[in-house]
Amino acid sequence: MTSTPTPSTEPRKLARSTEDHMVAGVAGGLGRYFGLDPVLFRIAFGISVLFGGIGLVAYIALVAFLPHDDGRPSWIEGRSRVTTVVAIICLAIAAVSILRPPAFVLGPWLLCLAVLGVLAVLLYRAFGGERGDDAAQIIARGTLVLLVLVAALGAATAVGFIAALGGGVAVAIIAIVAGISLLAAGLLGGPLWLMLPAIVLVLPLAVVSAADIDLHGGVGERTDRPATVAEIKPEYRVGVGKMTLDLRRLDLPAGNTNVKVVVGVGEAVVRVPDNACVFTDAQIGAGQADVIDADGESGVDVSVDDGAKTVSRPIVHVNADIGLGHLQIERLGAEPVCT
Amino acid sequence: MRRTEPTLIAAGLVTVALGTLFLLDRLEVIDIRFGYTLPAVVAAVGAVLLTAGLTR
Repeated sequence: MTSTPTPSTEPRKLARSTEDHMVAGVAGGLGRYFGLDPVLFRIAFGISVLFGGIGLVAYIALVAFLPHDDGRPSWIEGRSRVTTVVAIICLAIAAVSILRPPAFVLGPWLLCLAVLGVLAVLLYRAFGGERGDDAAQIIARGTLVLLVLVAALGAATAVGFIAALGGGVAVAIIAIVAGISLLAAGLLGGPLWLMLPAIVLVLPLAVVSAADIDLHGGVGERTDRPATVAEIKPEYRVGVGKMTLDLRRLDLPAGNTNVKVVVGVGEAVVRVPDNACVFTDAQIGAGQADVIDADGESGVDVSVDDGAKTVSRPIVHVNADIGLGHLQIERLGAEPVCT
Repeated sequence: MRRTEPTLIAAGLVTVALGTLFLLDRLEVIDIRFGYTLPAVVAAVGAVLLTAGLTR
């Protein structure tokens, strides 16, 4: 007589793994609980420890509060209430202290590194890699994953350029078609690596759309010094590079003089005459704005609008639109009375 | 007969959703920013990973 194994009805419990552990078994326990590869959690912890340190705080908290899967209690269990409260307060202070710049500034890079790490693991699995592979298999598949990732990054850069040069609608339509193809492939039991082309299409499109990057205007460094107000162009534009607009030679009339600067990726510098007030209306997808009469702002979705001025002096109204980069508005002399 | 792959189906759904979002942005119907694009992309990746984990 043979017996068939019955599936376990015991509820899954989040606990530190005693069998699958590199440090304290937290990633192994999380992987088993969520049904995911513990390597994904190890990558997440590793990256977040390197950039900002919040992962270290989270790891310490999980080590303190999670029991072992062999029945041993957690570190915090059985401690006095004072010890528990002190431990929680220490962890909270550490977390709040860490969630400041530069951790915040590194946020986007953190996300990119995490995405690359997850992609690398998924690709490794998609190419038949398993935990416990010998060193030769790991090196061979790792090299293949590296080559595919480099090719994917190149393709994503090309897609980003196409989208930023006016092909965004076409790329978005291709992404939707790719999504529908993935659905069909999923119903037919297709391979997981088919997700990679969709990622290569969607991620650069996301950056171009969110930052509103427009690469029309060429590549390079340009400097323009109009001698008269009549020589001011309706728009100064660079796709990738640096645009310097020097207005210091101008004898500006009282009232508004409008200048528009558009930079896809790079830096815009506007130098204004000493006697002029400045009114800035700027949008930056991701980057920094250093403007007169306002504190510098940086990060994503930077918007500067310091309000219209009604003074009898000349006013330079700077309208800037920058996808990724830096806006600098500067005056060499002392600031005139502009309020 | 081959088994369906739920992870690919989830990836297809989020790709169609994100592609539609970005198409509307490129057509200037909506104006998307990093502030809500990053959470949307992270949520999409999370949905695919959850599907992968729950169907193993």
